[in-house]
Amino acid sequence: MMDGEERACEGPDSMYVKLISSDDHEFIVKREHALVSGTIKAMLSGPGQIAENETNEIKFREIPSQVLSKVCEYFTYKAQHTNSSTEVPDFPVSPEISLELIIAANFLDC
Amino acid sequence: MASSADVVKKIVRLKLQLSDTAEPGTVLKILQKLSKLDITIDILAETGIGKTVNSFRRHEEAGEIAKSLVYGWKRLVPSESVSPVVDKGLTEGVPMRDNQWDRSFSDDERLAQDDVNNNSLKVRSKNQDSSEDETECKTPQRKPDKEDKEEKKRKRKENNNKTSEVLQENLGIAQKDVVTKKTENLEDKRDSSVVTKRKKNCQKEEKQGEQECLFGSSEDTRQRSKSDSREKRKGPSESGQFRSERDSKTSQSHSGIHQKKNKESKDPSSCEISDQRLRKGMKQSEAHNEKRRKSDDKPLSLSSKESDDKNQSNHRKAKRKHGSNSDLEKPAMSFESYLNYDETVLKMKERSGSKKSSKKIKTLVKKQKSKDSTVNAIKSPTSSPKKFQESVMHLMDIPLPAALPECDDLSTMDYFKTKAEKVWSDVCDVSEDSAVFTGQRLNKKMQVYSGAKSTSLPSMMTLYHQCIRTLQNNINLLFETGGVPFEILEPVLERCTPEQLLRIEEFNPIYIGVTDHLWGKHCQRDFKGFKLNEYESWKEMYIRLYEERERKFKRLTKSIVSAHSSKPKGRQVKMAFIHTVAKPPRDVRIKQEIHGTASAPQPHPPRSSGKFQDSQLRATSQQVEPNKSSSSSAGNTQDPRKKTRVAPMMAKSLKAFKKQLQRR
Repeated sequence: MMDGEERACEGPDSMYVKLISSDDHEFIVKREHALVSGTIKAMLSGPGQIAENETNEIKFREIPSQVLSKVCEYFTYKAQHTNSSTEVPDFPVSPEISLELIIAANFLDC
Repeated sequence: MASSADVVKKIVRLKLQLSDTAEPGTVLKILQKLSKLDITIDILAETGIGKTVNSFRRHEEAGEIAKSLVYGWKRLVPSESVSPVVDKGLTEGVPMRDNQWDRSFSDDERLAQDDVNNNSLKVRSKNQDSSEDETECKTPQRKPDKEDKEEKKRKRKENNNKTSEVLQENLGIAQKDVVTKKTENLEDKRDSSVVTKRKKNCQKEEKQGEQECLFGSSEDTRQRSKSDSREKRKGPSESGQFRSERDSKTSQSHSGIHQKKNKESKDPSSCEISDQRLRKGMKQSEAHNEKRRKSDDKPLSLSSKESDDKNQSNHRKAKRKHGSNSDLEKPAMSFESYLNYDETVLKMKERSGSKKSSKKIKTLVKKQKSKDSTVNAIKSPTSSPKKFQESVMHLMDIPLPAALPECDDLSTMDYFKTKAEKVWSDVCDVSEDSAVFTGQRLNKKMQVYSGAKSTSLPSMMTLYHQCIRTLQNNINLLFETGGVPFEILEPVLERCTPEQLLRIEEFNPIYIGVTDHLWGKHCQRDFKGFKLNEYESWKEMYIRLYEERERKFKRLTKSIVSAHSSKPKGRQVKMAFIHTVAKPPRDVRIKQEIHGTASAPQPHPPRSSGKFQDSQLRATSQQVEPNKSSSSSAGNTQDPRKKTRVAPMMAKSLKAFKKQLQRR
């Protein structure tokens, strides 16, 4: 499984990227989903050769796992409903995590 | 035994040719050659020719010959009991011999009842004659179910008591047994009893290493390896084949994710088939594990079929990617196939309510894990795949991130919630919705509150805006912000009332300096006309004005209260008509005057009574006269009232009469 992950995440055109929270939870999401976030997009495809380009892993030292998981949910939500003609339900955010989530959302620009 | 060795060599050669060739003519020839050769059980087991030939059963031209060959060889193998065989790839009801143990065959019988695959049908070895017909297979299977169970139990007992030598004897019996996929499922069920048996049987297995492929019984190998994997590895005997099978089995059993099991024993084709079957079997066994409770044969078979169909699609994907035989697994492919799983899951999102792709992967992995855990209950990792699998299992053992106590249980969050289940719908203040959209009919005349509406967004809001919206709806819950910069929270604070703003500032002193413009707005709204003093911030001004107002209010309250305090409170009783006669109501008075029922003489009346008398006289000429005297006395009493009751018109006419009288 580990090999598979690395293989899936390796290379510049791999399909998945790995987002690591501050408490070392790893979230593997599709690359195109993660590119919803402007910050991640810049990290992964920036002009400089930063480490993330190689390993397709990004470590977020300030974002805890419950927040990062919600962010990943948002990626999927957005990917599904963008350009959708049907009624778009709103994305539920519980008040408890909304403060942390807003910090993360501001940081990730999404 | 030279001849047998030669025969073996020949057979091996023919077998290779068979597997290589594609032309039906050559196949025919080879099969004919094979039929001429003297083949014993040992040879069959050694070369695995039976399997190969069986694979040609369905061949266009050579099929019949292959079938007959197989039948003939099967007759060689002493048949005793019945075990249905599941032959996935080769279908038809050809009974598959297996070297399974007694236990297995009884399990097989059960499995036969389950009828996992649409294609595969088992025929009990008892009914080997009628094995071709699927329907035939089915019916006999159902019949001896009970018998099988009993037999199974018996066999189990027997096995437990037997020594290895005895087990060897049972080998002959076991050879009859046909193992089906369902065997695996049943084996899962009876792990504990199975384990012991398997240990004993592993020795058998060694010897039967070749015989496993007797008739293309890939399931057999699969099953065996599965049982092997389940063993506690205490069996000392390990042939080369045995080990590899075991390894393959172990890894296979570990997870359906990455199982390319190699049957090191046989042809690539058979191995492929076996692998396919393995995976399918695994899936089915897992499916069966879940469905075990449904004891009824038919429903189980049906449901297992359904699950199989589902699994087959997944497996086919994996199969396609499956390369040649290799001892190591190719996790990438299987992993990716599982990663692609989310695409189908995406479509079912609304129904299932799953969340993000990564989470899906995790849930998928977890699901696999749960499935596998049942299979892996007693598994012990083998040498080479051990490391790999452990890491996999370790990955799968990672729990989902532990949520902080104040956080929701994320697994229950479902952002495809139906309209009925908004998380904070009861908290949501509809009127406070952002300007982007409102859920309330504010423009219409009649505003009827019909519950919090779940409205759709006109455009996709970013996560930031979604958070802002949530916060705006729940300002009262906001106390400490934990260092969120003011600029980020500004839209939320703009909607605060002064009290809320004050509270938030109290809990978060960092906002104190920067919220002044908000206070300015409050001042302008609440205290219009007041101007800002020098060296005073809006906030200070607001507080000053607010306190002034409060003081004024209190003062007024006090005065009013004091003014009211002197007044007697409650009901008060006052005396009326103390010095005068109680005045009757107006209509009662009128009636009293008419009828002369006044209680006390009035001081007023004489003039008016006189007037009335005159009017009476004038009104009635003669009638009045005789009444004159009487009326004069009576009129005195009545007169006052009557006099007062003269209507205005009457008064005029009375005057006129008087004038006329005076003129006369």
